[in-house]
Amino acid sequence: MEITDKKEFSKRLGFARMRIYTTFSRLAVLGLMVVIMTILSPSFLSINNMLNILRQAAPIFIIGAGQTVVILSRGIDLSMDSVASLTGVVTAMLMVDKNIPFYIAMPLGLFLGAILGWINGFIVTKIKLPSFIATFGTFLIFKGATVLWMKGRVISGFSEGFRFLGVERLFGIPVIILTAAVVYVIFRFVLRHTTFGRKIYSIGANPEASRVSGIKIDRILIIAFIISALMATFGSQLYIARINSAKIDFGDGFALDAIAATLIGGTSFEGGVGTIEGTMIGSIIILLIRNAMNLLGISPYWQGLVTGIVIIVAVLSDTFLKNLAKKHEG
Amino acid sequence: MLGIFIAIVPYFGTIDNAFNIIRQGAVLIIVALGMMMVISSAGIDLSVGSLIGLSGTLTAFLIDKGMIWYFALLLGIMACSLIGLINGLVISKGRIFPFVVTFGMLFIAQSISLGFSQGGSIHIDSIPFSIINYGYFLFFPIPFWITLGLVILIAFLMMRTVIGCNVFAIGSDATSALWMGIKVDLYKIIVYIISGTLAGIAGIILASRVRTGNALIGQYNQFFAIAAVVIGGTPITGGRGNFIGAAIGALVITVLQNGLTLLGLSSELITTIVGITLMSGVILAQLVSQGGLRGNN
Repeated sequence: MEITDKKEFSKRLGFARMRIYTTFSRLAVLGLMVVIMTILSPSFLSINNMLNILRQAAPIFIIGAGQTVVILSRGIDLSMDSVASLTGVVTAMLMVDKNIPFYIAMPLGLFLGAILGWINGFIVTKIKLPSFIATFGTFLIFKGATVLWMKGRVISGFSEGFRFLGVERLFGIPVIILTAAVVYVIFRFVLRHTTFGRKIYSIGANPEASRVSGIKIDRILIIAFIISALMATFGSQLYIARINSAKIDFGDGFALDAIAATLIGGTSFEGGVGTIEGTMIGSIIILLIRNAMNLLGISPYWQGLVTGIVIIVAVLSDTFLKNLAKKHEG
Repeated sequence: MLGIFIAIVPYFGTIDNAFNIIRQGAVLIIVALGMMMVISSAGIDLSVGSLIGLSGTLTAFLIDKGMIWYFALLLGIMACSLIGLINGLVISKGRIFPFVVTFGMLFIAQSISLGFSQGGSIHIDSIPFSIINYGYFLFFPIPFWITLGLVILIAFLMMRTVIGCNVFAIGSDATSALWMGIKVDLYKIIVYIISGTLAGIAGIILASRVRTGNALIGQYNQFFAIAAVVIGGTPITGGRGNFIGAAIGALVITVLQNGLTLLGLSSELITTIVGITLMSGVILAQLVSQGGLRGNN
């Protein structure tokens, strides 16, 4: 489509510039942190430590990718903790108790995840509850279901093939990092180059206009929640493959980490603004903070302080620059 | 629901248990009051769950260091007011979504209390401090009087002073409120300070009941408070507020938890039932308010 309106053109240029700025500012922060840490701690910049950070960031990125889709559409998914715990535990039980091979157990777990996501989506779109109330309710319900079913059991001892996904290396790079890279490519493609992705952005930017222009909002939102639950499941499966055990509450904190990664990455709660690159960088920044504080010998209890400040400062700087850009154009 | 519990649980209807529910419910009611003010200004405060832990931990830490209990308690509450002030400043002056700011503050406040308690909890030896929860005044437990006082205070603020009017105006349309000459930023800051302070007071009562300062004790309370407010008839989009409804909503949640516990159900089952009840309550409240809107049109 040819853009004839000059004002519209400059607006679009503004959006593109904003997106590039957001990504590069996050990369700059990441780079700065790496430089500072390299000076402060000699053991920081080793290939091993770098791979370690990426390996731990991988599940958070994978879960955060699902959260990003939901937040882009102006929602939020707080049920991820329980979804991850429930599906992870079920997957583990299928593999250990029932001796089902992992390549069948994992899709079964994902199927369960899809059902849980559909429940979330159904409550949000058809019963019309605000998403953070609906998903907090399902968070409690799924959590109760997990504990009732498992009664505090810890499942461990997975097969070699399953552990391969979590700990082994392919061409010198941990498989879990390669998996996260594949997830990144798929999400980038879907969000930027398919009609579904464009519809997600459109709904987030303006739900009313999207509805009027014929987008089936309910269906798209339900799919968004299913994607979110699927990624929570997949992330939890990779996570238990890495730590080689599953217990009822291992997913606690996943949702908060995923939301934090998404927010640090520049995705806005106003909906319609944000990138999957941002979430990837956000998840690495979170793990970098944890790693840096460990190496510097700072008590892990202060990690939340730094994470919280980084979230607020990241969003503040975005808002500040957006207002500055508006003033320039106006 | 009260009737069902009184009928099937023998201990439930006793005076002891009624006082117990008042003590338990005080925390959620007080937090829900603050949440109601924030929501009716079209905002949200996710940090209150962490603030409950912060005021308790800080107070316990200061008492442990030898400070007199009422000074420690005051500082604990003031720390929460300060965090509320920061919330309000960043939200109004930085023009950021309340959800983001208070979400970040949730991490920050929790981390500060974890840092003070070094991850565990601090025991409080002070006897006068535990009287806050266990003591009686005019035949009723002290938390009852505190809650009643705060309900009346907030009701007075919202119904009889200019603060209430302005908060509702900001909640229904911030831009027109600004054009009418209302100091939007100032009132937003006030609302978050009140919400933080109330969370701090709730944290003190809770800490006094368990006689410890624990950083994680208030976790998820913000969501229960939000649910209580919405069940109580305050629309999540702001502009209106029902403080009596919020208090009753909070009480319903407490009664439910208390009754189910006395029934001897496992805590997991209670979590599930509370989750389902909360959602159906919110759905019901929404249906009622939608019906009301249709009637007006």
